[in-house]
Amino acid sequence: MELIYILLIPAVLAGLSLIPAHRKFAPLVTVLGTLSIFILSLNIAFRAAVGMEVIAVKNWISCDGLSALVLLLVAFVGFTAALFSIGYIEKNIEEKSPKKIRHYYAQYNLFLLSMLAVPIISHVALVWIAVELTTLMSVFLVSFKSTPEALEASWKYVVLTCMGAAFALLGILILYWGVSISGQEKFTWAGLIVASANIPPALLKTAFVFILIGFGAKVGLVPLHTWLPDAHSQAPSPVCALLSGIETTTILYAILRLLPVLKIHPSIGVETWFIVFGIISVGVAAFLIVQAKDYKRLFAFSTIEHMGIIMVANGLGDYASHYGATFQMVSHAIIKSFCFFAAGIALLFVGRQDIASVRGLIRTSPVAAIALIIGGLAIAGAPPFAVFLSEIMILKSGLVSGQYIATGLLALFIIIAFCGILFPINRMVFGKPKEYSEKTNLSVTNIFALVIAVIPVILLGFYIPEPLHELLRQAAASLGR
Amino acid sequence: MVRREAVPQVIGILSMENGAFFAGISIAPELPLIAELTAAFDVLIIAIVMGILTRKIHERVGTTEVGRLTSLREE
Repeated sequence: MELIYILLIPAVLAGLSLIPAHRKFAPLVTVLGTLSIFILSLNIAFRAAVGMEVIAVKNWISCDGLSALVLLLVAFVGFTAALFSIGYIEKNIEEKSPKKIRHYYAQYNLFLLSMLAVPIISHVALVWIAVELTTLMSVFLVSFKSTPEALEASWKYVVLTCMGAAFALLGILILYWGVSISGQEKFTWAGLIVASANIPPALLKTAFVFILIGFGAKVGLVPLHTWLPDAHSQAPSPVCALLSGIETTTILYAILRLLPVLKIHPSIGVETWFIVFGIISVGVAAFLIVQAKDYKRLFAFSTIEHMGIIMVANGLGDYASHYGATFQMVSHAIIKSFCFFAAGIALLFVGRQDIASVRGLIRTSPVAAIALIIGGLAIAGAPPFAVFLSEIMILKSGLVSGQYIATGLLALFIIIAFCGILFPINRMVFGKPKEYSEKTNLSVTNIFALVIAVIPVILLGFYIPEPLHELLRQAAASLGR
Repeated sequence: MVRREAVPQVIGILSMENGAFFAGISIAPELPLIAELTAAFDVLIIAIVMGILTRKIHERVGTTEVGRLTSLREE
């Protein structure tokens, strides 16, 4: 039943935010609503962690370990980003029009709804629709600033991802064909795994390639990544946190669901596809990071890199690397959203996005500087943080399974990206400050959102709570076969 | 991306989606009704979203020639 509530709450919130009441009304209900979604999904995650499948409507809406994990991430970032939105949007609307604020929150809730629907829904055709809706609901959030650049970014975003969605649709319908000729299985993720033994490998492979290209365009895998840095740098920062932190992760989840389905036929070589696409993404992203001139683009490239790492980790193919991959998904979602909050605060202070114009942030605004340092260290993979742990897990399992070339390349690119992220952030935070004319006071909610978001960022590096550990194990097990 | 105008690009995408869906229906005729209905609804939303976006671009930039929008790129 909770699953249905989770889908209903954001829909109701979207309606409520449109009510022309006091200007604080829409933000307030959104924060309260997303908080309740987070609590509900925590409850579901606890139940999924002990190996129970939470079913609301059989064969349509259900949740196992992997989907509960993704659901939890979406709910957490959805809540913190809603909290962060309050102060950020208030400061960023020039004409202070309450109508624009209401529209922002309505779209925010619809976007959240579509992302919550992806892991919850288990019917594959409906998952495609949910994925497509994540694009369509977020287009106007990307173009929220209405500058020519923002409009350009959202145009690229919608064109490329809709084209990708058409490919993915074809792939999914081919899969459906395979399931319907193989027997009476339902067209769900679980039914697909059961039916996969009877589906001809050629059919499965065709479907997989179409879906990989189609959803890969949304995840930002490399030949189709060109929209990602634009959209992720032009959107308002809380939306960037959603786009970069969890939207990519959620869509990647839809690709990962195919992994156990395709593993039944070793002749398809699904692992090789994952590794090749992953390594190319990580490599290209690492070099794009080095040349980035805009700090929000820097974090966007780092998202491409992390998606590549997760792809490679899943291609390496044993339980340990799957565990590393799921942990990487968690750490990426949590830390990347925090990074964009930090970038948003820096943007509020400085008003400009290019790295060269920011110097000595530690003198002018310690909060932004400390947040950027923590976020930069954490996302680059410095030791006490979660990304470091998950990357070590992945590299270790790569060495154990004897994939030396892939592991070596991955390690090399990770190191390049590490330097590429930390040097610019170092330059931004320290050094001699330039004079900034405008002084901005941060609102309490921004600080509060940062504090809530930083707790798991720091905590997960030292200590993984036992239920989360169980949940990761369930998720990793459902990726293998 | 051969087309530089916004509207032909929208039409291109819609026809791609259309083609994918027809090809799919011919190979998988017994898709559940709800999936087909939501897919149709989805195409409607694509048309609306891209239409509104085109209008916004026309308002702010003064042209619908989206091929000219190239300010965001790597140096």
